[in-house]
Amino acid sequence: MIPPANRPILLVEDNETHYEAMARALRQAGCNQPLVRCADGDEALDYLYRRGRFRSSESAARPIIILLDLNLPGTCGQEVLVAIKSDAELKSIPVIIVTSLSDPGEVRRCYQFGANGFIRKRTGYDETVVTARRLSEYWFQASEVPDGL
Amino acid sequence: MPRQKQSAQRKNESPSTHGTLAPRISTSIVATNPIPPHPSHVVGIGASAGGLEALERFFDHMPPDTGLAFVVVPHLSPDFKSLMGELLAKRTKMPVCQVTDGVIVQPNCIYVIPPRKNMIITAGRLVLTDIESPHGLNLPIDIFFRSLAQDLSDRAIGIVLSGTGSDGTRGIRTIKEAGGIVMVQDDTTAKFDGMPRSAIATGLADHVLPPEEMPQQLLNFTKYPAGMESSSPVVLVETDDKLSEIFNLLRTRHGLDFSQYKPAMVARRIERRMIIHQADELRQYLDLLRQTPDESKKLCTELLIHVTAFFRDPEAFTRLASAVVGKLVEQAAPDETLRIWVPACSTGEEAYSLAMLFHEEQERLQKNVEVKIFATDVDEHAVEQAGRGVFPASIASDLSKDRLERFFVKSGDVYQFSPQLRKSVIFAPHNVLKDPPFTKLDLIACRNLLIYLQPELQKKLLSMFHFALAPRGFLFLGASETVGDLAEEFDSVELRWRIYQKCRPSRLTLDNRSAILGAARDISHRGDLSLQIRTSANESLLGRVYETLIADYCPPCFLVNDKHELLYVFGDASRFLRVPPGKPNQDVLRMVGDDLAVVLATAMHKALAEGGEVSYDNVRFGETDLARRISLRVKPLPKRRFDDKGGEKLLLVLMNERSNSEAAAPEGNELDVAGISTQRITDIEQELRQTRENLQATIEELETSNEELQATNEELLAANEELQSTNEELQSVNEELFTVNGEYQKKIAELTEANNDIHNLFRITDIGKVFLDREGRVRKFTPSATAFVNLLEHDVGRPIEHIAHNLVDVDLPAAVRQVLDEGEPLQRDVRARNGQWILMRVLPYRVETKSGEGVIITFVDVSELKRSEAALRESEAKFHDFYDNAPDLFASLDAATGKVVDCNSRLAATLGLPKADVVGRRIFDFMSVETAQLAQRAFEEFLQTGSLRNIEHTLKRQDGSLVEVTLNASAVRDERSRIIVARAVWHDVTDRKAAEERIRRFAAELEESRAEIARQAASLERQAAELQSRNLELARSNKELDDFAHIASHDLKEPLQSLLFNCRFLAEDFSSRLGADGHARLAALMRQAEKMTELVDSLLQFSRFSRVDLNIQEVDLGAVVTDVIESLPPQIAQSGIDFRVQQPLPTVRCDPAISAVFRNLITNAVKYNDKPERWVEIGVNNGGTAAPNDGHDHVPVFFVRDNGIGIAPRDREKVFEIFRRLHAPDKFGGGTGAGLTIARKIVERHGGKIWVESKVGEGATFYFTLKPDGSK
Repeated sequence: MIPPANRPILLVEDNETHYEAMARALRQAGCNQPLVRCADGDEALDYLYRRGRFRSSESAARPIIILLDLNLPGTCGQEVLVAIKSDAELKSIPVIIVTSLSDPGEVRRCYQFGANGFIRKRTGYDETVVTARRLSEYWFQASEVPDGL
Repeated sequence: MPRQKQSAQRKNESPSTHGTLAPRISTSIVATNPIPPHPSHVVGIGASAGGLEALERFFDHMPPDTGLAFVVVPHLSPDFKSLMGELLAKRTKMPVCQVTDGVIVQPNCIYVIPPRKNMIITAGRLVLTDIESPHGLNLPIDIFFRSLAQDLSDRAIGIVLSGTGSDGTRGIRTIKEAGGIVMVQDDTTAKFDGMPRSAIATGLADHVLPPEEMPQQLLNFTKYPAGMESSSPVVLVETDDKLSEIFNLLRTRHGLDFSQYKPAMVARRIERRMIIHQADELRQYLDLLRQTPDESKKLCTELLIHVTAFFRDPEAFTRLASAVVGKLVEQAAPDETLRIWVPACSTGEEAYSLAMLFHEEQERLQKNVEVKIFATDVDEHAVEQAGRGVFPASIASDLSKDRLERFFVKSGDVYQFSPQLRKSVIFAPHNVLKDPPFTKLDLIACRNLLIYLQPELQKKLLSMFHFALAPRGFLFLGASETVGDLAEEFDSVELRWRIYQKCRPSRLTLDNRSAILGAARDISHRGDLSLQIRTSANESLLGRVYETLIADYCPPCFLVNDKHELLYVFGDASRFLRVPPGKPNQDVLRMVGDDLAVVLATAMHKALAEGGEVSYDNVRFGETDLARRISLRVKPLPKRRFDDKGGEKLLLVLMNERSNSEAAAPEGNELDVAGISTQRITDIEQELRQTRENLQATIEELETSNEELQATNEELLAANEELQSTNEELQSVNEELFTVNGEYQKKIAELTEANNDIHNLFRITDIGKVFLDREGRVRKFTPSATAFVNLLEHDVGRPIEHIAHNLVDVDLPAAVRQVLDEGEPLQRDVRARNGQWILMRVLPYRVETKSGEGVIITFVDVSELKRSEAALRESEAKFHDFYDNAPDLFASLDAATGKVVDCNSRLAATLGLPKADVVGRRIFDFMSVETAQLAQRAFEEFLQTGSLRNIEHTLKRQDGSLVEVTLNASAVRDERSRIIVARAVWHDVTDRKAAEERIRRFAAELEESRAEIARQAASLERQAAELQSRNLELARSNKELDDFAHIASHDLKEPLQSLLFNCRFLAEDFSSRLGADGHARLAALMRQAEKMTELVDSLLQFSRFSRVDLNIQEVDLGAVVTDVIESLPPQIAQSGIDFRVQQPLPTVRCDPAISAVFRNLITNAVKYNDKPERWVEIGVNNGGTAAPNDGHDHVPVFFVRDNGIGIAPRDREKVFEIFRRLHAPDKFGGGTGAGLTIARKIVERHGGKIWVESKVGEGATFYFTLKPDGSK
């Protein structure tokens, strides 16, 4: 059992710069959780199901929350979301969609599939910092998350 | 009221032991109720020919509130409507109605049977049935009377009035049987006496009266108290003097003895007669009887009425058939005749029933036996009727269908008994109480006679039946009758149905028989000597003493009558009497022996002749030595004072034997027998001579009377012949009458039809007519006349002077007088006040050829005619105008010659001749020679076909020039459809020909131009196709461009973002190493990158508006504007600007993207403003007024106005180009230069328009609309 403070935030993000901006913003917002990045959907699912290079549980600790980009090469974010929320074990992990697309239908669909949050990816770095702070405050200070397994 | 007073009197004097009828009367005083719910009596009135008058007279005298109901059954014609109801209604205040089926009979009403119906009354309702054959024999009165009797019994009253035939006669019989009352019109007052006579002949009528006297009698009866009562028993003392006197009277007058009838029945019927005659006491009635032989006859008839029916008690007859009839037929010897007696047969139904039974049984057993049925009744009428064997249709209910078909022949409405079977029944008048019976009978059927008789007489009658029956013969009695005391003499075959069989072959004793006969013969002379002698059942003591004394002391003695018959023997006479051989008889002379017989005969003869006693002593008796001597005394018995002279003379013969001592007396004293014999012979010879002389005289007398009789006979024969010829005459008269009657009926039908015709004629011609008599009084008028003369129904009979009329300037009375005086018709057109034109004619009313009998005024509305005349005149004028002025040439040509009969002026003008010169000449004269030949052929053809169509030819003018014409002609035909006139019309086609030529030329030119146009059109089409394909290409490339812009801008954004992020990372991570200069460069780099991002965003937004479909919804523009102003970037909003927003802004249907329009316009208005006091005005329709440009006032025009720098006219289009900026990037806050482009895009996507008006330096106003302008 990993203490919550050590459980990582899983960021599923293909764009290196975006990942880095979010990572920096989270640190700057005072979030000290470990960060794990998966560059596409298949990798994210490998991680969560501890497959491929994440076969050992040490290398694939259960994330405390998942920040999921929708626009991914290969298995898209929505498919990843459906897979997580269809799995009895994984579906209790909060999944927050982070995307630059803002189709209103997309938002509704994601919540229907079980998303726990939907955040617009900001264009500027300062705004990204604001977003990261709010995320951190909400998920790690304002609310409780389920225990990891 | 005297009537009530009498009743009261009767009430007081009513000791029940008294022999009057008072007790019954006292119990039944009728209350004079107002109107009972049911009629007290129902009066059925039958009438036929002449009956209407009788009915009128009857109802004239009938008060309307009697409580009676009247049902009138006249013989109505099946073919005509009956006016009987209306006619009667005039004579009475009672309601008169034609009967409808099922109507309940109410008091004080008159009901009349409808035509073609039969009617019966049942349970107080009148029920109608259709007559089967309207023209066959139908007896509606009988039918109704029968039902009336059945339904109301003694409350039924039947009245028979004038008419022919005998309808009603059978009906009144049933009414009488039921105890009702019958009245018949006095045949001398009846117009037709057939029906009354037939009814009177039955002797059943209680009253025979003229109709006007009937109501009073009717009311006397119906109001008479006793008439209502019939159930309380009558106590009549059998020995009542008055009653026996009545019986005596009837016996002496009619030979009918009713004393042994049941007193209750007799009393009831006598009482009814008393009521009818309003006799209060029996004494009064007795007086009446004595004075009027008719009444006694009626009383007899009334007492003799019996009810009978076919197979009455069917069960009894069934039993009779099996137990008796079958047996009799079976046991009958081949040549034996079965003898049956039906006493008191009434109208014969029972006798016929038996005949049928015997016939059926014979058939069943297949045995032929001769059957004789003696049917007798005391009532000769009944016997006569029975003999006819004709029965009403109603018997169908008593007989099975099978029997009805087998034994009856239906003729008309009646049934005739089968003639073959009828032969076996012999009808005869016979009084069963008086006349000797038939003998050796196999069956006696005497049903329901005994019940009317007293027990004593019943017994006697039964004894007689016993006597009359053959050994083992059968007796058939009514259901409530028995053989009583004679039960021992009869075996009961069927106890329930009273069928008995004589059980001993013996007959009853002579005594018994003579007792019956004697009693029957002489019932009231019970005290007579000859009967007193007979053995009495209750001998007195004295009688017994007499007997003893006679036996001991009296010499043998016997009673003999004048015929020498031995009646009684006293003492022991055996020495003198012996029974001679041969058939025993009563002759005393044969019993006494030859020697004594002579003496006795002489003595008796002498005693009778002299009337005194004759005695011979010492008569020798017996031839032998043993001869004895006797003294013989013959003594006539003294007469009783009341013994009438016709009574038989009786002699008492005493024989006293002398003792032996006396016998030895001297010879001289002996009676000289020889002398006596000689004396006797002499006497007899004397007597013989006398007798001969008497005989001679008698023979002569007889011869004389014989001759007289022969003469009389001849006379009778002659009279008979006369009567026969008279009869024939009468028959032929009757035939004639029938014919005449038929003719009259036909006449009436014709008259009715003619009358209807006239009525209809009057009605449909709609011509007002008023008929006046010779005094000028209104006799009759038609409804349409009332429009002109103010006549009402009750004006009939008033003089015409009194009647106002609606005609202008007409002296109607004067006109009438004139016509009456002169006899000449008068005719004028006059005007009515309402403006109508009326043809008024006053005509003499003619009877045959004689006038002056009256006047008829007729009014015919000729307004229409006048109008037509005017219209005709006008039309005629019109026709002439057209005819003469028409451009065509008209002529009527005589078909035979082709000559012009008539022509219009145009023809004459065209030919250049006066009209007079044209008419009368042949039409061919106005043609060139060749044309005339052709025309003549055409004309001949026309005479065949009757028509010519568009024949083109030429006419020659007077000056020789030709006119081109077309000819049309039609035919006028006579009644045999031959053509007599040709109507020709020529049309001058000279001008038309020229025009046609021109048209032909134009047409050719037109054809050419049309070909040219077609060529050009083809090339245009090609060009249009090219244009279309180019257009499609353009649209496709436009779409591609849009897509490209979208994808490009999206893909451009990512690297820009990465660039910016990395610049930040660079600044953070290498801050110290960059130095101030490095930071400045990095900042510039980032500014450019951000600028680039904005441009891409604008491009993205623009392309999105081009691509995405509009999401039209209700948008509150006020809220949109407020939101836009509040969300302006801080650097702009800070600057303190006066936003003037028009309140309220409307809510319109559009895409929410409209906010981008307002945002861009407001942002621009704020940015491009260099004034110290900046304001922006936002509103619609210039704050309420229309936009300067016309044509936009139909849709709202929104505007955003500022007091900024303004836009030069040359730039007003350029501002809407994308990325076009008019100022340096850093001036006025910068921008992408895409804002207005996007605004225009959005407005145009809504179908609207955006434009700007401005003055440089003073500000600018942007206008836009959101929908296409409807006016453009």
